[in-house]
Amino acid sequence: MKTIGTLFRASGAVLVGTTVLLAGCDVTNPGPVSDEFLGDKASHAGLVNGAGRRLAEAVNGVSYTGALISREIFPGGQTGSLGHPVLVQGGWIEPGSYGGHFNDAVQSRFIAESAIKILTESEEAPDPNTLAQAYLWAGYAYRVIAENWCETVIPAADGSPGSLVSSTAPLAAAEQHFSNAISTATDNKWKLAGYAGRAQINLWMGDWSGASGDASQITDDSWSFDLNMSNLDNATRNQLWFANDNSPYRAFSMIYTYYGGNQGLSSNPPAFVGYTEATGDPRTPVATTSETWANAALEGFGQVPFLNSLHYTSGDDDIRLASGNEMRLIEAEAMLNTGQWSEAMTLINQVRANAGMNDLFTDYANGLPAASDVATAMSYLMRERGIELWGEARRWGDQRRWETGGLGGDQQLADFETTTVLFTTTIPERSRCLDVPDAERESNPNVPTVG
Amino acid sequence: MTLRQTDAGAPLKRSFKKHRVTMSGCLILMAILSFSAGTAEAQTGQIVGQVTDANSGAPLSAVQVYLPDTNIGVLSRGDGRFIILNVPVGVHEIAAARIGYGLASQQVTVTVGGSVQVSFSLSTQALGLDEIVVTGTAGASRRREIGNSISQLNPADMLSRPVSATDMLQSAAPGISVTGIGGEIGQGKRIQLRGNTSVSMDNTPIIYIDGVRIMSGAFPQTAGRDYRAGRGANVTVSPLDAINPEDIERIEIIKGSAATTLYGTEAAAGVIQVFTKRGSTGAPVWTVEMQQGTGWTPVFGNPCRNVDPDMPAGVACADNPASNYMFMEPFLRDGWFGLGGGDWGETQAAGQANDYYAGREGGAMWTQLYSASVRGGGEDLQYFASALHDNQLGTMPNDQLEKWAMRGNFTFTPADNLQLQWNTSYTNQWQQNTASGNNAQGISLNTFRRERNYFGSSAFEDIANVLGFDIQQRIERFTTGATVTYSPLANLTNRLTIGYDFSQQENRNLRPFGFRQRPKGALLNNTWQKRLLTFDYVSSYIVDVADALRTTFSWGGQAVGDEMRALEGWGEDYPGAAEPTVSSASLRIAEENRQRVWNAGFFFQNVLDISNKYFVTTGVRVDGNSAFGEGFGLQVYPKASLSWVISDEDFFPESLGQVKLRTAYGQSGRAPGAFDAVRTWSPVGWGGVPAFVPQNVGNPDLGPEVTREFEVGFDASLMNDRVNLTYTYFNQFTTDALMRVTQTPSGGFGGSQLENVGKISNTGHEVGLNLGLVQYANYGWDVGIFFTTNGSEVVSLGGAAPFSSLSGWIQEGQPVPVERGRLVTNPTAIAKPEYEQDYIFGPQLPTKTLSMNTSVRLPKGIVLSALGEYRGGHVIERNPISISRSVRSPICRPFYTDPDNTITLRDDTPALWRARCTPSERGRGYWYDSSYFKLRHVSAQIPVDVAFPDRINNALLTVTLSNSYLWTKELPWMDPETLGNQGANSTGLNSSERVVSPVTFRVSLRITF
Repeated sequence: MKTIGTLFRASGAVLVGTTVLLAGCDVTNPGPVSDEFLGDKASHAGLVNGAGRRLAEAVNGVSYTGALISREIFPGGQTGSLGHPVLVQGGWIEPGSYGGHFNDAVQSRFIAESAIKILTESEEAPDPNTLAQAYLWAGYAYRVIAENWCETVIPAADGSPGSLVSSTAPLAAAEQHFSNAISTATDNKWKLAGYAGRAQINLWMGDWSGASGDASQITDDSWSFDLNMSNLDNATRNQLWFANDNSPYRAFSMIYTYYGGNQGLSSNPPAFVGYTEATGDPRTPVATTSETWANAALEGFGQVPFLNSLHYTSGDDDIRLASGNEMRLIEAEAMLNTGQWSEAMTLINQVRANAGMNDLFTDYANGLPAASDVATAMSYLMRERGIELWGEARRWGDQRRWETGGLGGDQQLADFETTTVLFTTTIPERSRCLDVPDAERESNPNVPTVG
Repeated sequence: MTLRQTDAGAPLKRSFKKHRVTMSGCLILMAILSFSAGTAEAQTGQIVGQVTDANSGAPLSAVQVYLPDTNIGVLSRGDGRFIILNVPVGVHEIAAARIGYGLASQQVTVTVGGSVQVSFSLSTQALGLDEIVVTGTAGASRRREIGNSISQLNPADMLSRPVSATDMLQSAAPGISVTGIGGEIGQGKRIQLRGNTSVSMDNTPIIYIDGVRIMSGAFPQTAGRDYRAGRGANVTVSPLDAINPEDIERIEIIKGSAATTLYGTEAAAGVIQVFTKRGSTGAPVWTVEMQQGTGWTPVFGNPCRNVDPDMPAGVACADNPASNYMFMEPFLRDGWFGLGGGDWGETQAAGQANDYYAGREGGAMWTQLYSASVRGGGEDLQYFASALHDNQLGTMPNDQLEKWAMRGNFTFTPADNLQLQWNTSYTNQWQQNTASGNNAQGISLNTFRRERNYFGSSAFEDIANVLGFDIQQRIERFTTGATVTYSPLANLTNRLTIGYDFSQQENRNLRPFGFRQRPKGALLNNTWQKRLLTFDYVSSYIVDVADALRTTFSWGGQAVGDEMRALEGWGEDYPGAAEPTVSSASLRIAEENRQRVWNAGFFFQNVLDISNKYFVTTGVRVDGNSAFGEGFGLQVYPKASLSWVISDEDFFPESLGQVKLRTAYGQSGRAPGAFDAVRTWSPVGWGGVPAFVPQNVGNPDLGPEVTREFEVGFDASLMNDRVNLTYTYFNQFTTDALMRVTQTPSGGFGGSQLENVGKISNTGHEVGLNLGLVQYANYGWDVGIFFTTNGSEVVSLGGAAPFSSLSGWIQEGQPVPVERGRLVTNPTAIAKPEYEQDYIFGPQLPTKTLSMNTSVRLPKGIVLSALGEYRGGHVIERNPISISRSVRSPICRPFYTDPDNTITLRDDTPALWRARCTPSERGRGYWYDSSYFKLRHVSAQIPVDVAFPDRINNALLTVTLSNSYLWTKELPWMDPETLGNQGANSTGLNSSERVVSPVTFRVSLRITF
């Protein structure tokens, strides 16, 4: 019996040991960072950069989808992977879809505002330029949301779910963040980015003097504020380049766009010469020869020549958030809204000259009449913004802004409809913006489930 | 640009031809060993005889006949005969044993130079009620004590020669589902027991080998960073396939929580335990085997070849023929003698595009397998050792595989009450695969889509460019475990097992400089490792409380550490065609991923044995897991079962046979992932600076999902063991089911968070029937039938909206998962398709499975057998190509006005086919009743002992034809078992652009001496 007792004791020890192991089963895995770590000052910059990175992902995605809907590019038939569904290729965004773009944009805002909270509530004074960057990313995130979503959701201050709001709310939030960035930053680089962002917001809000005043703070036309892109990272690889490049996808072409013309392939509409083909504008370069077809076929077109955009030539090509040239165009648009069409044309032609181009009405092959009134000058401004801001997730928003303002936002829209029935018979209408995604509608009790 | 096979992967590669020579050397060595065995003749005699089945009188092969006191023994030959040479003179006990039969022994007297004649007639053990099983029990238990169903597979009973452990599980018992993937070499298969009990976590059973936990999922599919989901071969290798099938003594399978309670948190999907062979007392017994085989791709992808029920009358298939292989003919190796439709060899012989053949093996698909094992030992130490070499050329043009495996098992018994068992195995497998699956740079996708592929061309020379995509992987598996069993008293047993399982996969995925779809080249080198550490202790104490009342109390603990490490290097843009490394690329990036989870628990169990015919088992397991939330604590899993050997009752007619009634209830669980409970941010970096982004919302109260299972059934052996019948009804109910609850995106974290909110039910019936229809000495006919039903339902989503998972939909009141989509409501109308949205098509998993096997025994020990399986009652979506990209689909050819030049549909195309074949309809309408029947194996076993000298005591020739026939109810053009890019790790029955699994033909010669 002594042996049994010893064995029982030994067995009991093993079980106790197991229990102790259970109690102390605190396994820490490397990699992810837990919440509390973000309170360290050493983590502040990383958190703020996270907001910038998510913004880069949002702009990366929206610039690609937006280019398709606003007809900056022509679909080559690719779906799935890095392509879009057929109806999106036709221009229609299904309500509730593209949650990924929404998530990236609102998460950029969330990270930036979390960083602002952490930094401003920190016992130790934060670095002013780090804090300014957080304001900047928050401001630009709200700008991207306002430009590309007709409605959005902004949570309450205590984090509880918000309700649907129009673009006005994110515009107001953006304006406040940009103002804070300007007042906080000590480095002029961040101040200028704040002025440029606020100029963009003021333009949307119709504050022409405010827009013009902020834009005038950027005196260097070649100045730009860019989002970093990296070819080595799928999420921040320049997607517009990747999808348009020869490898792997060849998913899009510039044929039938305003820039690429129809290359004589279609008699309906009659052959038209693309803008780039006619002018050689380096801002919207198009491949001049095609060795093959775009990778798949678009119903009704068959295979289309792969005449791709050369605007971006690498997955590492950054995407501009704001630029000096855009500031000149903001100033020009503000002037047009106060009737100064001649001064506006001077600025428009200044931007063209910066790209090595002649005045618009003198070098375009089909000939454009010289502006003689606000309406004509406005059409040139709209055209010039399309050229200058190609592939920067701006055109779709511009079209909606102008259309809302009664200015004919589709004026420069490539006429796909007359070329194929796809764009007229199988889509309800061309979408004007992205929708709040199903995930938000299904999880937020304050948001109706019908898109 | 000339593409050629580079030597970049030289450290990974082996020459196929070279190893034919090497193996020849091995065979010679084996032969020398075989004929050098045993030369002593002095003062000895011999024993000759035959072993037969007591019921039928049929000769029994593979019976171990031995003299316990002399360490001498042999296996009986195919005709049941045996001869034991060099037996010392004197009186000996001689015994005969084989699994499934009762032990028989008798005394013999051997004289100098004499020959003693002995005959054994072995009786079957019917239900094997006194067989020992260990899986799911605390320590070892007799089968009669166990209240839950347990399946035991014995390779010796398998009539085809299995090529892997997975192969052994195929249709081997009710409730086991083994699903093939595709035609790529080395591709693992998906294993499930009793369907799905989880919508968010893995439904793969956990696996043990000799008490040591090994990795249970397949090795991950790896692909280039430029398209994670597919830029590779999309081949997932199963760790089970690394086991040498010749090493396996038996496999025990327990399928549900009623049986798996003692395994705790990770066992809700069932447990498979493989037991390898041990040494045996006696002279060395050698077994060598050589297999040669070939194979070919069966017809697929031709809607006119088989009968598509949706094909309208009047469609002139004959005038509009499609390819029988979706135009893959030029790339597929055929079988011996030109079997199959591949013409890779012919294309090569014709001198087409010779650049693409450089360095590649042509000819037919060829598989070679050589193995050798030896077992023996003395009183104190017994050993079993084995080695295997496997060499294969697949049907796909780049596919080849080479595997080496070895094992050493040692049993040391220093004292009567102490035994040490040490088992170790090592496997090294290299394989090269063709870029395939849903891969824009793969061969199947670009071939299926014709000229509307990523080359804009259907020409052989263009598509063959993808053969320059060099995809290699080397897999190493090492498993070692030691078990100490100490029984200080006759009624007290302690067992401690410590085991270590290591798996490593090195992938080298190269698109060389000049590769047409990536001209500057790209290289992925990924090393993935998994380590599992097992500590398992159990002690059992038996007390005879009174006459006919015995209690066995067991207690123990178990801890399993599971660690994954992945390190990856990626390089792109090479300066030229030199042999690349990641370091020589212009752009380089590295990634590291590490994850560790510990699960530990302890248990108590008591078995009350009343009169050796009533058994009441109660037990409990308490578990902790590092993946549980901080606020969760420990999880308790109770169990209880009853077993009643009713045939031992006085009132039960002895002539009827043996019957055991059983019922069991138990719980087990499944843990969330390593990071699911923790609120985390992901350090992702951005343009060279640090950056954090939200990763996981976290849930401190997160715990395991708990599956409760009740099962009831019986095992019966009737009519003198001619009828064996088992039946089990199971009812599983999972509470706290882990559901990915969508987080409000505007809140910032977005994505989803696992929460214990769901409820799932799963019920079914399992019937196994084996009939000995004809039992004579020279003739016999056996039939086996396994029938399984399975019905699952999402009882509650805990308020969450329906969501997609398991490649289907998770929706309250529907099966797990259900196929949901747009139904074409006017399928036969010559009109534009009309749809009903969110239509429920039906369950994705089969609801009925019927496995049938039969064997016919002929004179001379020849046995013919067949094994087939029907699965039905389910619906799957099978759209092999992306119609919405306006590709030219082989499936739609009968409806094209000019199938070689346009995708315009004929005016008389019905709405269903318009939905399937019109790009803007996005390929809808591809849901099919997926009921099908597969003839898994047809085989013949032919004893060929007569061709060998007497010292060769067993020689068996086995010819096996596998995967040779497929019947489908509705799906006319694709193997329903083809799975997606995730292969064996697929969570659901989705599909991708794959070539189907080949038909294989193998000839095996197995010799024991």
